[in-house]
Amino acid sequence: MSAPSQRAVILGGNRIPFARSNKQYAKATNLDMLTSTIDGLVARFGLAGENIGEVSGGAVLKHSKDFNLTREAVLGSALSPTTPAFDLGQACATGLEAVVSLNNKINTGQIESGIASGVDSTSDAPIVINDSMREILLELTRAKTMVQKAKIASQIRPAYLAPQAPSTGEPRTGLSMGEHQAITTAAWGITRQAQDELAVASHRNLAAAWDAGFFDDLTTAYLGVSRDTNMRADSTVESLAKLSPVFGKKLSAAATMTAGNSTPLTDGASSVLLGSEDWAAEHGFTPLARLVDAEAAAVDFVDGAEGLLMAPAYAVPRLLARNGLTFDDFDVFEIHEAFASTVLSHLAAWESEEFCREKVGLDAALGTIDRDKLNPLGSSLAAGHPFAATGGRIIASTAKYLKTTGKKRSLVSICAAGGQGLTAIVEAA
Amino acid sequence: MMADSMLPVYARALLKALPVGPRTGPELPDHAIDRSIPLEPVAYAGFAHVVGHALDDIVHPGYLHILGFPLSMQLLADPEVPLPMMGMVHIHNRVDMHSRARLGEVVDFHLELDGPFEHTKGTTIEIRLEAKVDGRPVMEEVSTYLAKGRKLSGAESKAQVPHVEFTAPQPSAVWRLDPIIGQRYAKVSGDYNPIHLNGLAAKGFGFPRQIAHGMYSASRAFSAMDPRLESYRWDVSFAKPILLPGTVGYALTEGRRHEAAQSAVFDLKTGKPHVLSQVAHLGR
Repeated sequence: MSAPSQRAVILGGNRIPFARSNKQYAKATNLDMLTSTIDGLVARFGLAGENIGEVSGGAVLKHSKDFNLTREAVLGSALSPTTPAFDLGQACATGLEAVVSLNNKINTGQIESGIASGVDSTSDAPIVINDSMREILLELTRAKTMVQKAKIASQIRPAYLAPQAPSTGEPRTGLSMGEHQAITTAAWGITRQAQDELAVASHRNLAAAWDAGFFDDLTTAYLGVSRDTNMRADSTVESLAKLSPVFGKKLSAAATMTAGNSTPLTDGASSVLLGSEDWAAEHGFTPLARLVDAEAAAVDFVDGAEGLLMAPAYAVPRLLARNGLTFDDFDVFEIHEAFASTVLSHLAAWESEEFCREKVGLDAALGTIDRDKLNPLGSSLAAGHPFAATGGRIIASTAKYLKTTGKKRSLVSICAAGGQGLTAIVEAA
Repeated sequence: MMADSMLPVYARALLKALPVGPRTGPELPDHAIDRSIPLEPVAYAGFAHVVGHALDDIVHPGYLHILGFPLSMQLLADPEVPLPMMGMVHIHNRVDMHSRARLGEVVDFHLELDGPFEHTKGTTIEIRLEAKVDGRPVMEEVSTYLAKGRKLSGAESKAQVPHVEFTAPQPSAVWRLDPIIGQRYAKVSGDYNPIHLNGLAAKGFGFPRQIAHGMYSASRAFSAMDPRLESYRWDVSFAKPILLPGTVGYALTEGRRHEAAQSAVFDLKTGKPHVLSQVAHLGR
């Protein structure tokens, strides 16, 4: 029997296959995809009509009308309508934080069961009017007389009518995530070859897992899509080498980041079923794994002191130290591939004595990760990355992987916009 | 809204720009303007949002500048000023911030002209602004305007801000500036100078396109530097104007955010500077 604070277990998951932006899911809303994903989980575990302790979820690109996105998904699902839900957000770490927060609620005894979820559509994205038009419209709603309204309306200029599409740009720098990562990539001297090799491994591993039926009880086909559409099983270092760089073209170092070694915009949703050991036993569910600890970090990237996506490089050493673990204690490393060079920059940082001493405050380098243990099921480069859905994809997959392989421990790491990162340790149950 | 509408001032200035006779005397009129203006939250919020500053109770120094701006233009537009206001270029701005101005306070402004001064490229006039709240010194500002190519006999000599060589750093941020920013800043600042609003007007003054307000770029750079100092000197040098639409780079060139620091706004292609800023502790 585990200590009361470790009573939460991961029981399974469900996601829809991820699809490239503006393709099969082009007209599916965040609510559509999230509801369908939760319903798939409900069907798999026979939870129709069940009252779940709480459902957590979120979307990174979320319209204000979706303020209660997860609760709306619950109401549209086969779950009992008396199941509470909450939305949360931590950019690309949203899905993992959805798991961590429910895991902690179960560990403290607040709830007995939970579904952690996340969804993102880059196709059906909210469109925003520009600030001038928005200010005028808000002023109009405050105006009392027709004369006031006419005076305010006369300020509208044709240029104000152009909508603003959402972008992956950082609000404080105006640089896209790719441009930020290109600076980090150059700083760490990550080569084109190494990035392309990592991308090929991601596609190969993901394809092998699909072929082996690994995702059969982790996914439900949606809108005619039965496998992740970005996956290219036949991609090779040679084929990727032909692609032109898309990020970092204005830097003094050679540009190395291409569409092949960067994650494309994707649509999709994921969910993870969590419960207390007692709740699992009552329902006859076999625990796959447990999330034993998590650590978030953030870096000051605003004036370029640190790379935008480098926070996990700081979170992982702290997480390991708190748990008395080293890289040797892990069988699996699930490092989210925002870009191939993001993963490689983290690996390089952990291998760097200078970085680990001066920036992290360790006595020596953290260590080297055995590449055979890295993303054994493929990761975001192949599967795609519907921002808030990635955490759920990784947690459900790695939990099942530990169970089916008899391996013991997995390190999960996700970088996020705003210079953030969230990392976690998952152990076989 | 602004305390004084700028439109009549510009109209008068335009009239004055017409060649109606020689004005060669160097003396500036001995006028000053005193005006009390309350710091109103709704008007200030518009300014803070446009220049990318968090809205809180402590007022951005750029806002005190724009509250004083219509008054300074009234001084400059005076027919007795021996230089034409239209076409004068704001080349330097120095703010000494002695204490914080807060929303809800009433600021007593005192403005007067100083100069004319000799300048290698023409003649400058300085607008000196003092801002106090209940007798407490808040801000002293010197805004330097250059009448390009105009030489006045009898202009005083004055040490110029030395020209510094500038090498563009790697931008830590890029600003994508739509022409609409000219209108947005005009609306919150009251500075409806047509060169910021209209390409045709800008052409009339020798610019290929509409240009961004210098104090917009400077105030936005100040917001990005975001100094958290009780008192400070904020120096701004305006180099090449930013043509709209345009994408420019921003980076700290010295120091750190929230502290004494230097920053640059620059052309991403040529590396030439647009606005160079420095925030330093105020020596006492």
